[in-house]
Order: sequence, then structure tokens, then C-alpha cells
Amino acid sequence: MTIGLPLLKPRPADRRAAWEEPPTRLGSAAKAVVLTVIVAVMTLPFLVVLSTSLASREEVTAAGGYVLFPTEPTLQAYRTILSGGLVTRAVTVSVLITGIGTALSLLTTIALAYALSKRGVPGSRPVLLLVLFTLLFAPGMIPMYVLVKELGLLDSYWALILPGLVNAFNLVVMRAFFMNIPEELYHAARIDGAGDWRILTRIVLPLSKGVIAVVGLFYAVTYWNAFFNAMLYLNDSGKWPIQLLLRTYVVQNKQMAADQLGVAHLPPQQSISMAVVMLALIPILLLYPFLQKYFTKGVLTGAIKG
Amino acid sequence: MITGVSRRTFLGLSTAVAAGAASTFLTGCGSSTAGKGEAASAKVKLPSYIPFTKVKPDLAPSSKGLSAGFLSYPKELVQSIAKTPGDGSKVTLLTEIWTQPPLPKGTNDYWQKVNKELGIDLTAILGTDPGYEEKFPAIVAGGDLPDLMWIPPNQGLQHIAQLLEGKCADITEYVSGDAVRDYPNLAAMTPAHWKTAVVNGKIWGAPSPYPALGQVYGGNPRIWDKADGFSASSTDEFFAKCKEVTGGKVWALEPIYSNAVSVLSQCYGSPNKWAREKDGSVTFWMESDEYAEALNFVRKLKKAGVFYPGDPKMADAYLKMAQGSIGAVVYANPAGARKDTRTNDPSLAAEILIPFDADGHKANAHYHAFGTIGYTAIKKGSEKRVRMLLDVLNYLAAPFGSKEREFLEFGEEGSDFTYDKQGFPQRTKKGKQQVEGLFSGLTTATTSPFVLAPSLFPGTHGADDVRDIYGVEQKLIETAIPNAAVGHYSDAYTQYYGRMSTEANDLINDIVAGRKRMSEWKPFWSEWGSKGLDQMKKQYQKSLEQNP
Amino acid sequence: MLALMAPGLLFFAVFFYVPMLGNIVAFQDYQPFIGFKSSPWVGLANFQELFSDPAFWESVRNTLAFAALQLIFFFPAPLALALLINSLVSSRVKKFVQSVVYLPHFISWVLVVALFQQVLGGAGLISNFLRDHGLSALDVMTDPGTFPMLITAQVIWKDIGWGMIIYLAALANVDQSLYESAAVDGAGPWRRMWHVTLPAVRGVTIMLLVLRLGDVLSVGFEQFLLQRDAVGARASEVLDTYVYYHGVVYGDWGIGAVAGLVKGVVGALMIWGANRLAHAFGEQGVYSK
Repeated sequence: MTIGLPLLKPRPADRRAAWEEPPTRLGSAAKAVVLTVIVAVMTLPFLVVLSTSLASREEVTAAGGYVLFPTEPTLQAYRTILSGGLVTRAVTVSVLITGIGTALSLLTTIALAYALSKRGVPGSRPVLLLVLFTLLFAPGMIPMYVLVKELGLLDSYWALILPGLVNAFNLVVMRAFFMNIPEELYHAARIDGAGDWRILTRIVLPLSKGVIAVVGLFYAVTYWNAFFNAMLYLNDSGKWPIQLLLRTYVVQNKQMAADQLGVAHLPPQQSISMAVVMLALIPILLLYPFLQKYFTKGVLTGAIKG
Repeated sequence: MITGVSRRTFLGLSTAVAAGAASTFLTGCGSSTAGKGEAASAKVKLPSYIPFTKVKPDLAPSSKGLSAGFLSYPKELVQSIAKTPGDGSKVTLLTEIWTQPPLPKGTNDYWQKVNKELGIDLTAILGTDPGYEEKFPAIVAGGDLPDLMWIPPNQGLQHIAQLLEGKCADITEYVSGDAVRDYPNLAAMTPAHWKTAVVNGKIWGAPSPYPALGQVYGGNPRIWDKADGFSASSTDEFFAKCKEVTGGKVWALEPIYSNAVSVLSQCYGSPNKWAREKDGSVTFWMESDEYAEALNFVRKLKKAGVFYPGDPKMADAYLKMAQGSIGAVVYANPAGARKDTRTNDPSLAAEILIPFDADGHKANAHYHAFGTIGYTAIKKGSEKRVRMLLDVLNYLAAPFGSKEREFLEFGEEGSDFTYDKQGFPQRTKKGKQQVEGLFSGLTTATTSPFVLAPSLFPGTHGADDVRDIYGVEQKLIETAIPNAAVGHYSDAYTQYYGRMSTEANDLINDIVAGRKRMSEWKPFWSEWGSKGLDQMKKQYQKSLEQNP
Repeated sequence: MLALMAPGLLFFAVFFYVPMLGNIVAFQDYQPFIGFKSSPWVGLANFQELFSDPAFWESVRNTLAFAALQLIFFFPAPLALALLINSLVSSRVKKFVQSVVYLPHFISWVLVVALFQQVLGGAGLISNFLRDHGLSALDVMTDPGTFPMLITAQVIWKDIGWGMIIYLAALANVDQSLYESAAVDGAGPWRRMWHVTLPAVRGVTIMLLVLRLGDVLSVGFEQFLLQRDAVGARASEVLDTYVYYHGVVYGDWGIGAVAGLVKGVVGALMIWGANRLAHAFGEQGVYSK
């Protein structure tokens, strides 16, 4: 027997299978209503955010905060942010950190999750418990800072990646999916003389595209959204990721900051705040369609069982 | 050791533990004892006040905190610094920025020019908001202190006295009395400014000045006009006016209740945070009858429905005021109020509520609680190095109308800024990218005392705004009272104040919203008496007795 | 196998177990400028102080109440949504709905609260409509009584789509031929869901449930801090806000560390118990027996 992808039977796209019964009218109508409501409730706020980001200052003032239909849409808010000088650089930093960080995180997580998913590996249970332990407790901010400093990582991009390299939750999820891969496949592979590495790359990974996509998305979003580590560990503003930079546009009115006149600080312009939301959001949204196919099409493992 | 008390003794825990904690604690930080501190705090001789006279403002400042006012940009800039302050060495500055960060040192021409002008190689650690209250202790714990560090009084930074004693330079002898003449720009700071930088009887850094007057209500005149303007002569009148303008989709006041109480407490003549009574004892404003009456009044206003029905933490109250659905909003100071409304709508000029005599009390205004936004302390070092760093701070405090100030705030003419029609410098795009962020950090560290200038206010009414706000400040200063505790140190304060004020704020919100009764206010304070408030008062009293 | 484990283990050792040592501040009166070595030891005083503070217990009570609501209403929501979306035939609609429902996850709590105000607040859309029609305005944003429901609704809105993604991945692993044979055997849509779909996601669901129980003392932080003034501390103080005030605002590092340890121990007990329960029902849980 050759080791390869087992026989897969993906769900036929867009077509009702012969065995499926035609939908009832009532059922379809109910579904349509529920979904429309859900979609509306989820998207309307975004339209408000988008519209407000495109509104002029006068219009925002006249509306008292949020604008639903800007009469004369303007990109002024975006221009203001993009003319800051550091934005391009910060986006580059964020994209690289997200890309490299996600790749490294996935590699480390997959390797450890695979090792822990196999029964009979010596020491795997205590290791798993040690990993779970990290979900429950948290090292304080100051010890982390001291550690990062002692490792010489202050002002280094590694300070944005290494402290969050493996997330125990992601690890446990991935391990659970790996464990669902039928034992028979491993047996077959072992009989064929395949080693761990071969089993991982030839069987486990191809069968786990869905969970890899999910965990990858979790990591990517975490790296993309992170600002606290950058705030703490990076002094050089030239190295700041986009999220930290964008936060400086929406500084809120903490009692003292509110009117520090000498430095012209004021509550942020609403359209700029909303443009910041959009700018922080758009790049990561672009990722989703690429990953989506891995959890809609489906990779079927049950086929070999049956 | 009278006051080296651990917080734990108050909580009824084993005194052995507490005593042990306290004594180890004191060994841990060398010579510093908070108990000695209060006594010594009082004896320090503040730097002489030598105002800058080479540039003459149109509206004169006063030692009482009235801002200088300029109606136009000075035609002839003067030189305030004789020689390059630095010695070419590396200097690290920990500060906070309130704008976007500047381009990094390597690609920032302005940064290079600052280095050249100051004669140093400046590395700036730019904290952001929020974040400073986390970054500061982390850096301190990391051990490598920056050469200059901005210490704000109200961001929850704890045990500053011990930090200063352990790691920072005592600059008293370099600036006390006439010694400050060596640093002429720093000499233009008033005694009130310097008081913030005094801890344990020693001066620790250069103050970061801020407008002297504290919180005020700024009102939208378009709303208050129908009630005959945003002013009142009694609580009844204020109440009636609030009711009158409220209706439809308009409400008289923003729903930040604690700010409402603190502003209106001025009408009742409440103390400004800490007050010294005739018999020498110290009282805290929230305990006073005046404050309680103001709270009760705010509760009545709330019942009458004049507060905007929104989130007490709402961030867009300013916008709602400019738009016209909120009548008045509390601002940090009068100039800030005017500036904000002009920014949102150049044709809108916030009116400032002058405190009125409420219910048989004599109104007063309150100075800004700290008089500054903190100070910048200097890392321990040789006298030569500390003096060099003081020279650098002296440069940063260059006054309005000096060449140095223009350079710091705007950079170089042509590339970083150009003069507008009214003759004021305006940053170019390059100036915005390079100058704005770094200047924000530098000016947080220290700067010259606040001045009113037309360029502060967007729109074309700048000169009028300067006159108006100057007039408001004059009126407020007539009755303004200081916070008696500024420049005095209480160990108990640093330990308990954070918790006390959080709990008090929670209770204010509960009482105003009707979740708790007014009758719970006084018992809350008698309880806090034994939980730390009495201790604070005693310590302040002792300190004030030694320096009336 | 060891080579596969090594990088991950090294990570946990260096970036978790080493800085975890910093939690000794739970037994200290820690001062950042003195350091871990020289800060005074106070034994169990921090623990005593925490346990004798009524505000701590109030925050624990609130936390547990919110956690219970989240478990009942929020926890199953993503699964329900995943099943609903999975039952769609048109892959285009499916993709569209999927990519829309997870959007709110990316909105900060500040904005979520502001947007809820915009709709449900006393001067929001609904209130203004009611007022225009002579009715009294809504009060849900400031009413401590309805606050738990409000909080839960906000969480559902924000994270239902995000939580759904894991289930989608699990559902995608279901072999379609199982449906076919079930249908041939005469099982209707509901029976197919019961006998094919749910068993396929049962393992993941139980695992997520156990993990959630381990985190039972975390119900959110910013969400509560932002709405504290609106409903009062009484209704909104949760363990994480309590820790924030003590650790950061009051500079009381020891108390912050103690609360963190307490949280971890409770979480460990919950995971241990829940996992045993899962085993009793023949499930995997998070770790095997």
C-alpha cells in the first residue's frame, strides 16, 4: 500500500445531493430571516464606521459623532494618517511580524502537538500537563520585561514574536484534531516503514489543513493585533508595528492628557478614529478568503474508516 | 520612625509582619525614610522666581498663575541660551507623547538638529497613552534607568520617593534660591511649579508646567443663549437654566458625574483637594460639608433629567456639545475649553462658567491640582553630568518669543515650518512628521510656563480668544485657592490614595445615579478615616506646620 | 520525537516557567525599584489581605455569575451558528455569511460599547424613537439589573463568529458519505444532525468546554472597566478589574500576583474536575487518563 491521501469525498459544491430532501418553504424562509438579521446586525456597525471615516469634520460635528450617509465622502482622514510618515514602515513591520511569527508559531505548535498526540510517547502526559498549566497562570508584566531585557531582545523584532510563540490553547486544539486521525492510517504507514517525519508530512498535515488554517488564523490575528509588547519592549518608534502607531491617533481623554495645550492635544477627530479602525482591520480581513476554503471544502478522514 | 507604617497594620494583620516588612523595606532602600521626608520636605528653599523679561507679552502674567497673553507673534525673537548645553555625550530621556511618534532618529533631520543644538546624542523612549504607567515601572525594574525621566503625579506610579532617593540626583543645591540663576529659563518657573518637584525636602527635577487653573464647565453658547447665557448667581438659577435648555434631544450637562461634582463644589466653596484649617488641621475636600452639598445638588440635577442620558465614560461628549445635544462639558482648564470648541467648529466659542455663590456659601475657583503635569528627574551621577543635564533641561524650558523655543517647537524655517498670514509659525508636512512627535515628548519633560497665543485657537478669532480667556482667568484667580498639599509629601497618600479615590468615585456614581443613598456618603468617609485618610491628614499637617 | 518537542518545550521553559518565578512577589511587598531580591518578604500577608477584602469576594461572585451566563448563552452560540451555516447549500452565501459574522471580533471594546450606546443608550436610536412617540426611553445601558444580560449580548455579538471558526473546521472533517448512508437508511435532516453532525463535533465541543471552565474566573476586562461608571462598581467589578486596580492603579504588585495565583488554582481544579467528568462519559476531554 502506498502512503498518500486517503480517498476523499468532498461535499459537492452548490448542489443538493441526490439523497437530500428538498427544503421546506417554511424552513428556508426561517433560515433566510435569521441569517439576514444576523448579517445586518454584524455589518451595520461596520457601515457606520466606514461612513464616519469618510465624513468631513463638519459633517461629523453636525451629526454629533457617527455618520451613516456622508454627503460628500472624503479621504481626508486616511490622508492625515498616511501622511504621518511612519505608516508604510509600520505596515511593513506588521506584515513581516505577522508572516514570520505565524510561520514559526505554526511550525513549533504542529511539532509539539504532533508529538503530544501520539500515544505511548514517553513523558508526553506530564509535558501536556505542563503545557496546560501555562493556560492557567500568567507571568507578570515586570518579570517578562526583565527577561526580555536580559535576553538582549529590547528594541528587537524578536521581542514581538518570541514571547508569544506558542499558545497553549492553540496547541491543545491542534492536538485534538491530530488525535482524530484514525489509528489505521498510522499503522499502515508504520508497516510501510515510514518514520515520524514522513507520517507527519505525508499523512497528518494533508489531513489537517482545516485546523492548520484555523490555528494559523488565530496566530496571525494575534500577531497583527498585538501592541502591548511593542509598547513595552520597543523604544525606537521606527520599529513600531501598525497597531501601536494607530493607537497614537486615538489617544483618549485620560484626565491629564485631555488638554495638554502646549502640545496641541485634543480628543481625536472622530473620522480619524474610524479610519484607524478600518486601517487596522482591512489587511487582516484580506487573509480570510485565502483560508476559508480550507474549512468550507473539507478534507474527509472518515472515508477510510467506512 | 513615626510613619514608616505598612499598609498592612491597618488591615488588622499581625503587627510582627508589618513591622518586619517596614524595617526590611527601609534597609532595602538605603537612607530613605518616609518619616523623615515629611519633616524635611518643608525646609527646602525653593528656587528664586526670576521671570523672563526680554520678551514683553501684551497681557501680563502674574505670580498668582495668570497666563501671559500674546495677541501677535513677537517680531524680534531673542536668544535665551548663551552656549550649547551638552557635552556631546549620550542622553536617554523617558517621556510621554500625546501625538503621533516622530520619524526615528536615523531618518529625522530635526532630531539631528536638536542633537546639534543641545550638544547631546539624544535617545528618546517615547511612552504612549495608555501605557506609561506600565512602561515606567518595567523600566525601573529592568535596572537601567534613563538619564532623564518624566514623573507624572497622577498615573498611579508608586513609591516615587524611594525611587528618587535610591536612584536619582538631588538637585537642591544647584537650583535652590539664587543658585537657579545658572539656569535662567528654569528660573522663570513660579514657586508653585517647583513645589511639585519637591519630595523629602529635596528638589529632584525640572517641573513640567501646565495652565494654572483647574477644571471648568465650558458651555455651547448656542444652547445657553435661550436661557440668557451660561452663567448663574445661585443654585436655583443654575438649576432652572439647566431645566430650561433641556428638552427634545438636548441635555444641559454631560454625564460625567464626578467631574460635575468637582466643578460645582467650587460654587459651594469646597477646599481644593487638601485644605489647612485655622487650627492647623488638614481636611480633605470630599469629607467637607461643602462637597457633600455639591454632591447632593448634582444628585438633584440628575433627578431632574438634565444630564445627557449616556455613558459616564463617554469619549464623544465634546462632539455632542459642538453638535448641540449637550450644553456643557467639563474641561481641564479654560483655554482648553475654548480651543476644543474652536477645533470642532471654528465659529463656536465655549463660554466658561464662573463659579457662583451657592446656598449661602462663598464660591471659589480651584487651581489645577498639581500646578504642573509632573517633573523630570535626573539619574544620579557626577556633579558635572547632573549640571550638564540641567543645562539641557534649561534649554528645553526656553520661553515663548525666544529663538530656542521656536526652534524646538517648529524646527527650521523653510523646511520644517513657514510663517502664516498672521505671522505665526506653522509646521510643514515635513515638520509634522519630524518635529511634532519629538517636540511633544520634549515638552512633556519640561517647558516654559504656559502662555496664551492666538495660534492656540483654530479659526480667525485667535486674538479675541486670548483676551476672553485671559479675562476668564482673571476672574477665576480672584477667588482661586490652591491645594494645600502641593509640595508636601505623605507616605500614607501614596499607599492608600489610589484605592480611596477609586472607591469614592464609585460611590459618587452610585449616589448620583440613585443606586445608593446620600446618607451613605458621610459614613464612607468616617470609615476611610481609620483606613488611611487620618494618616494622610496627620502627615500633611505635620509637614505644613514646619513650613506654614 | 524529542526533536519535534524541543522547540516548543524550550519556549515554555524560557518564556513561561522562568518569568513565572516572578510570582514570588505574591509573598513580598514588591517595589520595582528595589527588585525581586531585596523586596521585603511578607509571608502570607498578601493572601490574608486579599481574602479579608469584601470587595474581592464581591468581584468573585460577580465573575462567577457572568461566567455562568456566558456558559449558558454564549458558549453554545458559535456551535449553533456553525450548524446553521453548515446547513446552507449555496457555497457563495455560506462564504459571505461566514466572512461577515466574524468581523465584530476585530472591533475594540471601546467601540463596541460606543456602538451599543448609539443604539440602546438613553439618547440612542431606540430611545429617541420612543421619545418621539411619547414613550419613555430605554435604560438598559445604565441599569445594573439588566447589566449581566447586556454584557452577555455584547460578548455574543462580538465573538460568536470568531468562536464559530473552530467548529467549521471540525464540521468540514465530517465524511459526507455518512450523511448519504444515513439518508438512505431513512434518517431525516434532524436525525442526521443528531447522529452524524453532532458526534463529529462532540469531541471538540467538550474540549473547548473544559478549557473554558479552566478559565472560569476570566470573563473579560476592558468590557467591564468601560461600563463601570454606567452601572456602578457593585454590578461590574470582576476579578480582572479588581486585579487591575490593585496591581496597576494602586501599585500593589503582591495582591495582583496573589489574585493571579488564586485564579490559576481554581482553573486547575475546574479543568481537573471537568476532565474527569468527561472521562466518566467516555470522552477524551483535554488530556487522557
